[in-house]
Amino acid sequence: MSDGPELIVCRCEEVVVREVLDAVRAGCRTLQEVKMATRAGMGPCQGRVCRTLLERLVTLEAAPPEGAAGLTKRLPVHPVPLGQLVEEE
Amino acid sequence: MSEPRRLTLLKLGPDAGPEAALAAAAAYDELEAAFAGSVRSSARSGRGRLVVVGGGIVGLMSAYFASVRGYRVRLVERLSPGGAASGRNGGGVLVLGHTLDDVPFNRLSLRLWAELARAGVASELTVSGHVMLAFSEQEAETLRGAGELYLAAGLPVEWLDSSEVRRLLPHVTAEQRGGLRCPVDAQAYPFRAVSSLLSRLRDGRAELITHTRVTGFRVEGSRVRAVITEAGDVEADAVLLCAGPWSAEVGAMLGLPLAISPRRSQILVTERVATRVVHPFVTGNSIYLRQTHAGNLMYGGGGTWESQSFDTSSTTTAIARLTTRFLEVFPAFRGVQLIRAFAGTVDLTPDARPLLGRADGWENVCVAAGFSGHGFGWSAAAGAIAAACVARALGHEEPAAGVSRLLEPLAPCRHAPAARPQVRGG
Repeated sequence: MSDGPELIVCRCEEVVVREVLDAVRAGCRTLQEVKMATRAGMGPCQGRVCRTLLERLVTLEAAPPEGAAGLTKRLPVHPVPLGQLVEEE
Repeated sequence: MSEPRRLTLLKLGPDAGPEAALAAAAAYDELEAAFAGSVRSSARSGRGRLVVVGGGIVGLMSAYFASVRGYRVRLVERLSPGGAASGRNGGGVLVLGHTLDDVPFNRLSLRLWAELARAGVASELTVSGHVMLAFSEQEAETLRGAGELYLAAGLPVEWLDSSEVRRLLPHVTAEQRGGLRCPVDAQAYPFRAVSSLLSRLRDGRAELITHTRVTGFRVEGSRVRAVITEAGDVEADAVLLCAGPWSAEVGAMLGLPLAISPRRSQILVTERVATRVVHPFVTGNSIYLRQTHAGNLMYGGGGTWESQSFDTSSTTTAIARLTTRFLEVFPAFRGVQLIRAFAGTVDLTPDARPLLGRADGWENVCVAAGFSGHGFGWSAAAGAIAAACVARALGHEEPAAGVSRLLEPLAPCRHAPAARPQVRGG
């Protein structure tokens, strides 16, 4: 990874490898903590594209505590227009 | 819109009157005199080792203010700092809506948040104002009455009629009947606030012990001497419990009956909306909402219908309910896409007021917890006050009589009989 510090790892929020590594060096130990520091994984894809890459980067660089989960998976499974989510009368 | 009570954050009770409002204004003056400027304290309290249990926003703020006072701070967090409700909340730093008892504390918090921002604690703090919307003539009347009390309590609120609300919120429904606006209320980005506090603490002398569980306490008489963790004992001259909804569990290890119970609160986030469409924080129709600094729309709202547990899963019922209410306020956003649902756990107390102060039976144990869904906004004031309580417990400082009087109703063990010092676990 050292040859590509400016590679974009999270396209939605335009987070590059260097920013992820900086967050780890600043003390982040899990992907959830890196997300908090960098917004990686917070765009429309919610990590569906970048999750694996991010998890690998953080695992290699931060040695996360045993059992520390990666990014949580939440609803919705893909972006949905609000108008389709309203209560039925 | 059939809910009987939709004024989401309005907590004024029927007993709130002009006298209580004036008392709230005077109480703020007491707090301001005692705590304004505590972000950069020149007077150091003294030496001592403080162990903070819990790395949520309240624990982090407390650690920050205690460090400023010169204490050597160690903070123990079971998982990730700010990983629970501190990072999963609406980001409101609000005064409008609170009870008259809590208004002075939240005014102090607003002021300290701004001081922290000037001192370099980044949080995307924006003084965007807050507008509470009415959806019936009765709600409008309630809000106008509340507005008079908030004005007397020192908050510069103003009533906006329906067309003035539309000028402030161009996309809002024509169905609204006006709103009460508080121009000094603010909002911030919880992730940035947590990250920034962490880096300030790391740059200072504070030690952050994360992903480490507290298993008990080593005590001597009525003093705690060390916090026992999975990673070893952490020696302490004073201990501060800031474990949010988990405080009851931690307190029980010291025999403390902390009346805190968990309740889920769900939040929904949309994709970024290109232009700034919602500037102020908005409440009403049983939800709260704001547009984040990045452009996402965020809306949420809890209530007695929510799970009284530590469950943080999202439910389709809540997604439908909250989205319906959101589109009733902003029908123009039907085509905006939802990208994420999440949830946090609020720490409720029986009287919806925090547990803040020294714990009964222990000379050197203080508590700052039970913010009942308002911990993020409260946290700056909570941290400054908790640090002062620690200084008092260590005999380094005598607080002003007026401040002591204000803190009496927040005594951590007020809801249950005082326990004799005892220790469990470890």
